[in-house]
Amino acid sequence: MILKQNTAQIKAEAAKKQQELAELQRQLDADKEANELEQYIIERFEANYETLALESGRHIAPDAKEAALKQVLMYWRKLPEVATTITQTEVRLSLPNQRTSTGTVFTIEGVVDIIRDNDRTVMYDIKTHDIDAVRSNLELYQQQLNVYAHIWQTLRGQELEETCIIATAFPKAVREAVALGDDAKLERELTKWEPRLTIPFSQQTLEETIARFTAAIEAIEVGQFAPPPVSRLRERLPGERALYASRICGNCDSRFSCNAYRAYAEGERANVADEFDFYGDYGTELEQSDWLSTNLDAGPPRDIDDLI
Amino acid sequence: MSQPSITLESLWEEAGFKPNAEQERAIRHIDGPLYLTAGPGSGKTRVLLWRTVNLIVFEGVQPEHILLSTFTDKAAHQLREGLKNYLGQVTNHTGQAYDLANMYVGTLHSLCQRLLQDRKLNPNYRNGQPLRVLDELQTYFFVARRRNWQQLIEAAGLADLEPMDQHVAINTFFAGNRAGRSRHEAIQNVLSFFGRMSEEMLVPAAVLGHAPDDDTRMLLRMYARYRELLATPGGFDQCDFSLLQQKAYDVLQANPQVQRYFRHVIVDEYQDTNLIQERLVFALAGQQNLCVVGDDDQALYRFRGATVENFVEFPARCLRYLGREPEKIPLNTNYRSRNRVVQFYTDYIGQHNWRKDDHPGEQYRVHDKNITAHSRDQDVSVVCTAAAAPDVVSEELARVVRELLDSGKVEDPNQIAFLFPALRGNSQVERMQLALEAQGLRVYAPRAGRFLDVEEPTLLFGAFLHVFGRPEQGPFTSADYTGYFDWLNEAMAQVRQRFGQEPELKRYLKAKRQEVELAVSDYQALVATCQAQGWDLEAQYDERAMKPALVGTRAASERTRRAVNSVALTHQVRRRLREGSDKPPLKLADILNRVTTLDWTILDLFYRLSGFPTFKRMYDLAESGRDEGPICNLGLVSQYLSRFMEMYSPLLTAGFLHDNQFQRLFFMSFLYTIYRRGESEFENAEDPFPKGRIPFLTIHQSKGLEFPVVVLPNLRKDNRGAGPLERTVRALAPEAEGEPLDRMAGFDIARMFYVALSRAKNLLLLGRYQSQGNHVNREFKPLLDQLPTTASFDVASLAAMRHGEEKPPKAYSYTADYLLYERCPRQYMVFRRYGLVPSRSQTQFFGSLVHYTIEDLHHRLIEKREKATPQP
Repeated sequence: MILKQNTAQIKAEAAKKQQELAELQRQLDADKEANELEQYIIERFEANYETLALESGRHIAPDAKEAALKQVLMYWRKLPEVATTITQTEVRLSLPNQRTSTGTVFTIEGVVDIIRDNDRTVMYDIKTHDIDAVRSNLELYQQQLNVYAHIWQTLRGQELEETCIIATAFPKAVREAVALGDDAKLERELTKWEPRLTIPFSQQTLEETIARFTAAIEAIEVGQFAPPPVSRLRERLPGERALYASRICGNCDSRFSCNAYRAYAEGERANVADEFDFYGDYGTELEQSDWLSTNLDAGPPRDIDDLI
Repeated sequence: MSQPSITLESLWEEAGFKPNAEQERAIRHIDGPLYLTAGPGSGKTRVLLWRTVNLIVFEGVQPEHILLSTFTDKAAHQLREGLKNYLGQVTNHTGQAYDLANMYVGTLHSLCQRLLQDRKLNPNYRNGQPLRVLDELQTYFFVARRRNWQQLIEAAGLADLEPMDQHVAINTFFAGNRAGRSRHEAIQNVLSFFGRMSEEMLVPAAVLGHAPDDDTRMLLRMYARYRELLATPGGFDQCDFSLLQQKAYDVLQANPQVQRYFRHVIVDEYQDTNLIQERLVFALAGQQNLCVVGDDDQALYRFRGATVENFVEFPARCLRYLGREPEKIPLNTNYRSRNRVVQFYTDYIGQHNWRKDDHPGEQYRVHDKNITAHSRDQDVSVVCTAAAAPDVVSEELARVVRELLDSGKVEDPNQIAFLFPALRGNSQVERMQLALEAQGLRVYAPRAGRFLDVEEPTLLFGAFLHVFGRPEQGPFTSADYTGYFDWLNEAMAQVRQRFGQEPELKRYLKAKRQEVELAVSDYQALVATCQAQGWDLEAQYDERAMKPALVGTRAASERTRRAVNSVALTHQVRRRLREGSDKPPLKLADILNRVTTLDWTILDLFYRLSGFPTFKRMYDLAESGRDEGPICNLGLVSQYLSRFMEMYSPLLTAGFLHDNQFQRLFFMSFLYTIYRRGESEFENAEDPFPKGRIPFLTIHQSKGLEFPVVVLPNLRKDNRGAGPLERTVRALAPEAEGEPLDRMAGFDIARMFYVALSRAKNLLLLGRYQSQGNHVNREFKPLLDQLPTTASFDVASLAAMRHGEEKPPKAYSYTADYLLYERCPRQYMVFRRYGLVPSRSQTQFFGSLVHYTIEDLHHRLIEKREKATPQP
C-alpha cells in the first residue's frame, strides 16, 4: 500500500518535475526569443538611423538617440502582449468625399500605428510623448482617434472595441528616478508605469472635429495664413508650464519674420543693451551643446582645395 | 461582413465617369501585353487608374504585385492620390480596405532604388548598408573634385597638357570650333557622355573597337575610369542616376524569380524611356502583363537619352522579348481642348513627312491615331496675329491678354501660359515680357534667367557676402568668371543700397561679421597655445594637462575661454572616455573646433535675416496672399543652403572659416557651380504657378500640363541636325535601330511644337513674326493663313472657361496638414506650403526613428506568427 502510494507519489513528483522542466525550457526559449528580438530591434534601429541620417543629412544628439532606442525597447518590454498580437501595422485610413462649403472635394487621411484584431479589435496609436502629456491634452488625442475610429468603423464596416494611445516616452517619475540614480525607485516607477490610455468615443467630438477639419481646409485653400494673435502666444499650453511662444514659436525658424512673435518678444525683452538680443536665441545651452556634439564628428571637410 | 455588390459601372456612375468604348476596353484588359496610344487630353490617367482599380478590386491582384511607373515624381504622386481616392470609394461600399503602402508607384528611377533596397526582391541587399544615389548636382561635384578629375584626365591621356588645353581637347568633341576652355564646360560635357553611355548600356571595353575616332576612345577611357571611381566609396553602395537602373537590371538578370514577382507592369510616358529602361521594363514583365502608355508625338527627351522607337516599335519589341504581340488600343478622343485647337495641332503634325525611305509603307510615327475632339463646337479658338515685326507682334499679344483678363474671361493671370522653345538667352522672351509689363502685367519665369539673378537670392546671398566677405577675384577672364564676380558685386551693392533705410540691417551684418572674425582669431590664439606647448592637434585631449593652458590663453576671448572650461564640454569629454562609448575619445583639434564654432548655421542666419524689412516683406506678401513669387524663391534658397550643409557640414567651425576655406567652398565652388549650371528648377508639386503672374515656360516644362489659354509668341525653331552624342551612340551600337540621323532633329521640332499646341484648352494664341531675319517654321505657314487674326477676334465672343475636373481630390493628412495648420497657420504656410527647410528640427527625426523601428518589430512578429501557423 505504502509502496503503491510511493510509486504514485514518485510518479506525480516526476511528472511535476517534468512540468517544471518544461516550464523552465519554455521560459528559456521565451527569453531567448525576447533576446533575439531585442537584438533585432537594435539592429533595425541602427539601420533606420543611418537611413534617416542619409536621407535628411542630419543627425540627432547622442542623448536623444539613446532615448529613442530606450523608448522602443521599453515598449517591447512593457507591452509584449500588444506587440505579439497585433495584426496590422501602419494602417492608412482615408475618408474620401468630404466637401468644403465652396464645393472642393477632399479626402481626410490618417495613419494609425497598429490594429489588434484577434478576439477584439483595438486601435492603437503610438506617440513619442509621455503619458502625462497625453492626459493633459486628452481632448486633442480624442479628436484624432475619434476620427480614425469613425473611418475604420463606418468605412470598413467593422466593430472597434477600443481606441487607445500608447505613450512611449518615460513618464516624469521614471525620468526623475533615472536622474537621481535611485534604482529601487526606478524599478518601482517602471512597474507602475502604464503607457496605455484608453480614449473614449464621442459622437459629438467627432462631428465637431470633422467640422473643424473642413474649416481648416477651406482656410488653407483660400490662403489664410495669419499667425495666431499675440494673446495666444502668451498662453500656457494645456497641461504644461511652457508658453505657446516658447514651445511652438521657440522651435519655429520663421518666428523672426512673424508679426505675432515679434510683438510678443517686444514685450519680453530681457536685454535692452543688446540690440540684436531678439536674434540671438539659439535654444538652451544644453541644446546648443548637444547640437555641437552631434555634428562635430561629421565636421567640415579638411581638404578644401580638393573640392574647389 | 456583408458585401454589397459593386461593379465597375456603379463606381463609374458614382464618380461621374462615362468611358468611351476604347477607354472601357483598355480598363477591362487584364491579360497579356497592352499598347495604349494616348493622344493629348485623352483621359489616359483616368484609364490607368481605373484599370488598376479593376485589377485590384475585381481581379484580386495584390497591390504589391502591381508596378505603376511614370515620368515625374509629381505625376507619380497624382497617380497614387487618385488610386487612393477610387479605392476609398470602393471601401465605402464593401468595407474592404486596400493598403497601397507596399505598392510600387513612382518614377522608374525611384522604383529601381526601392527594388534594390527591398529584401524580397533583392536577395543581395545588405542589411543596414544604405545605397547612396548621387543626384545630378552631387554627381557634378563628385567629378569636379580635383582628385577625381585628375584621374579622369590621366585616363584621357591628357595629363601632359596645360589645364586649359585639356578642357579644349574634351570640349571640341561636343562643340567643334565653338569649344570653350573652361573646366566647368568639360565636366558638363563628360557627364552628359557618361550618362548616355550608361543608359545605352555600352560597356567601354566592349565598344572601344567600334569607336570611330580618337576622341571617342578618349571619352570611353574616361568613362571607364569614372565607373571605377564611383565603385570605391567607403561604407556604402554608391552610384549615379543612370547607373542606378543598370544596378537594378543586374539584380533582375541574376534572379529570374524576381522577374515574375510583378503580375502587372504599367509604364506611362513610355515614349520618353531609354534603352536601359526598356530592358528593365521587359525584364520586370516576366508574367507578360505589360501595359505601356504614351504618345510618340509628344516625345521630348532625346537630349536625355530617350529613344522614341521604344514606343513606336513596341509591337515588334514585344514580339522579340515576350514572344507575342500586344493588343493595341488607341485612346484618341481629346477631352481637353476645343475642336479647332485639336484640328490645328493634328493638321500641324500631318504637315511633316514621316515616311521611311526604305519602307515607304511604314512611318517613323504611329500615324493611324485619328485624333478627334470630344467637343464639336465650331467657335473660334485658335487665333494668330498679323504677320509683323517682333515688337508689333509682342504688343498685339499683350493687348489681347490684357483684354482677356479685363473681360473676366480668365480668372487669374496664371491661367495664361506663354510657351517658348527656350527661355535662356532668347531675346524674344525679354521683348514679350516688356510688352506685358507695359500693360501692367507681371510675369513668372522660373527658367528664363539664372535663378541667382532673381531679386530674392541676390539680396540673400548679398547679405551673406557682407558677413563672410567676398572672395578675391583672380586674373581669369572667362565670361562665366567675370560674370559671376559682377553678380557678387551687384549682390553686395543691392544690399548696401538698403542700408540707408535699414541701418539695423547694416549693424546686424556687421555684428555677424565680427563674430566670424572673433571665432577665427580665437582659434588662431588657441592653436598658438598648443604650438607653444608642443601639442599635436591630432592627439587625444587630456583634460587635466591641457585645459589650464587653453583657459589661460590671454589672446582668446572671454567667451571662448569659458567654453573650454564649461561643464557641458567636460561632460562630453568624459562621455567619450567611458567604456562602451561607440565613438573614439575627443582629440585636441575637436576641442578647439568645439569652442570656436559659431552658434549658428547658414540656415540659422537665413531665418534671422528674414526678420529685417528687406526680407520680411517677402513673407508678408505671401501671408497676405498678394504675391507668392518671392517666398517660393526663398524656399529654393533655403533648399540650396540645406544641401550645402548636407554635403559638407552644418557647422561653421573656426577651422573651417579660417583661411577663407568656408568662403571659398561656399562662393567659389558651391554657389559658382549653381550659377554656371544655371540651376533653377523651382517646382511646387501641388500648385505650380504663383497667382497673379503670367507663367513663361519652356515647352518641356509645360509637358503634361494644361492651361485655359496658351500663347506661342514665336513659331520658330531651327534645325541644327543630330548632336555628337547621337552620332557616337549610332557608331558604337551600329545594330541598334533608330530614326535616321539626318531626320531626327526635324522630327523632334515637330513633336515639340505639337506638345506646345496641345496644352491649350480654350484658346490658342499665336504670334507670327515676319521681318528681316524673322520667320516662322515652314510647316506653320499654310496653317496660319487660314486662321482669324487677333485684330478681328472679339474677346467677348470667347466661350466661358470650363472648370477643370481632371484633378483628383486632394488628400489632407490629419497630422501633417490639419494639426499643423491648427497649431499655427503661418508655420504651415512657410514649411508645408512653400517648402522652406527648417534649420534644425530634431523632433521629426526622433519620431520617425521610433516609429520605423517599432514598425519593423511588428512586421517581424507578424511574419513569425504566420510562419508558426501555416495556412491550411
